[in-house]
Amino acid sequence: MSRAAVLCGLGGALPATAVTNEELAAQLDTSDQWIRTRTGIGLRYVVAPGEATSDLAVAAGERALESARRTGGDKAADVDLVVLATSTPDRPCPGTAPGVAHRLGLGTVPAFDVAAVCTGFVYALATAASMITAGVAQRALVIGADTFSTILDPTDRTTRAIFGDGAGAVVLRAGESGEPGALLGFDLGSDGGGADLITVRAGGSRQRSTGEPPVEGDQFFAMEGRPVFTEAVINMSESSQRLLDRVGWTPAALDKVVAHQANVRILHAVGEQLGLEEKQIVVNLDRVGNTVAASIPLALTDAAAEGDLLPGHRVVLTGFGGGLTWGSAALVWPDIAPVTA
Amino acid sequence: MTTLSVEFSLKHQVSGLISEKFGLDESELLSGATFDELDIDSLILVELSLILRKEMGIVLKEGELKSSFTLDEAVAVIGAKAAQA
Repeated sequence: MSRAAVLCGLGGALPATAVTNEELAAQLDTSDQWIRTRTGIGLRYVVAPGEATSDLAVAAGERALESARRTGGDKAADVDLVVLATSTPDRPCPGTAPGVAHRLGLGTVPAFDVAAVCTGFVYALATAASMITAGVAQRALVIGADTFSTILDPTDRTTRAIFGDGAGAVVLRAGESGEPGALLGFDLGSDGGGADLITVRAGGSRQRSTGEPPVEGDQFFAMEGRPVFTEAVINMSESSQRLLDRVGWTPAALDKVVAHQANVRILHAVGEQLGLEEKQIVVNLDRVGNTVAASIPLALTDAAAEGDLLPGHRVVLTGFGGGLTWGSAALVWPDIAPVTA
Repeated sequence: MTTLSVEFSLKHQVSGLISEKFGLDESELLSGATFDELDIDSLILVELSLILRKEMGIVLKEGELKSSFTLDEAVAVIGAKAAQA
């Protein structure tokens, strides 16, 4: 056995305002049936005016710490590192994580953001786990939080149907590789050749250095749906397979794949590529939409709360997002109680 | 096999795949209607490309299968790729 990061707390948070497909259909040229057949999504949540990514991150973080306390006592929530995955920070500068750590009462712990869009949570998990195995940290709070409703084009029926706001978080502690909850391995990758497929063109140094205002529309999030679909399926499947080979599990021996909740048809296509049965694939996007960096921890929270994810289950997490980026992680599910409210 | 019989068997393989994976009527696919006319949404063509990649090693680029195609036109594109593979 070797030193490993062990998952010991889990929580999620959604903003109060739900948006139904019918509400979108009243504003845009779309319908409940169009959205459901193309994405599998029935509901998403959006922040209220003035609400920010950190507000959701603090709520999810508090719940993950409470979840860690329930199985490990007060000491279990004594984290010495905060890593926050987001691509919708509260401000362009500084990072959002230090403010979240401060509001959580965590003192002067190191805290920083990781930007890998929808793969952000897996990247943040790998970063925190590596700092734990290196001995730099003993306990880490890893949060995925995004508020894509703040960067969507209000007239774009596709992105508005797909994306929702939310946050999910886990607590990691130093432990041994043989324990349930130990992160057994990661597979991470990127392809910057695909940077234009998922992007906000304006607002960064490229546009701001011109001294000109952004070209109308460039301030909004834009995505090329069909090539993104293909890249998402290929990269999540291949990344999962590489990790399975490394860990020594077959797809058939896997209990659950918790993939980034992008689109239910992407989830099924990943299942098809890996030769999985439907019961092996965790789906919660019907209730929350695509919540970007929050997607995997929110899916974990729902699946664990509903008894779909059980202690001892062999689990692979896999994500894909802007960058392009992708990444996967493997673990045996621990006996923990997620906190959702 | 002659070219004609290769195309014939590929056509039935592809129409069989589409009907099996997406629950569409094979006789409608073979009727000569375009995918648009059959109400096949563009994501199905993306999903089909991914299945062809896995099951037959045929790599189609985004947009090579068009919803304005009939099954015969799609099979011609797939057949040309298969010949290169």
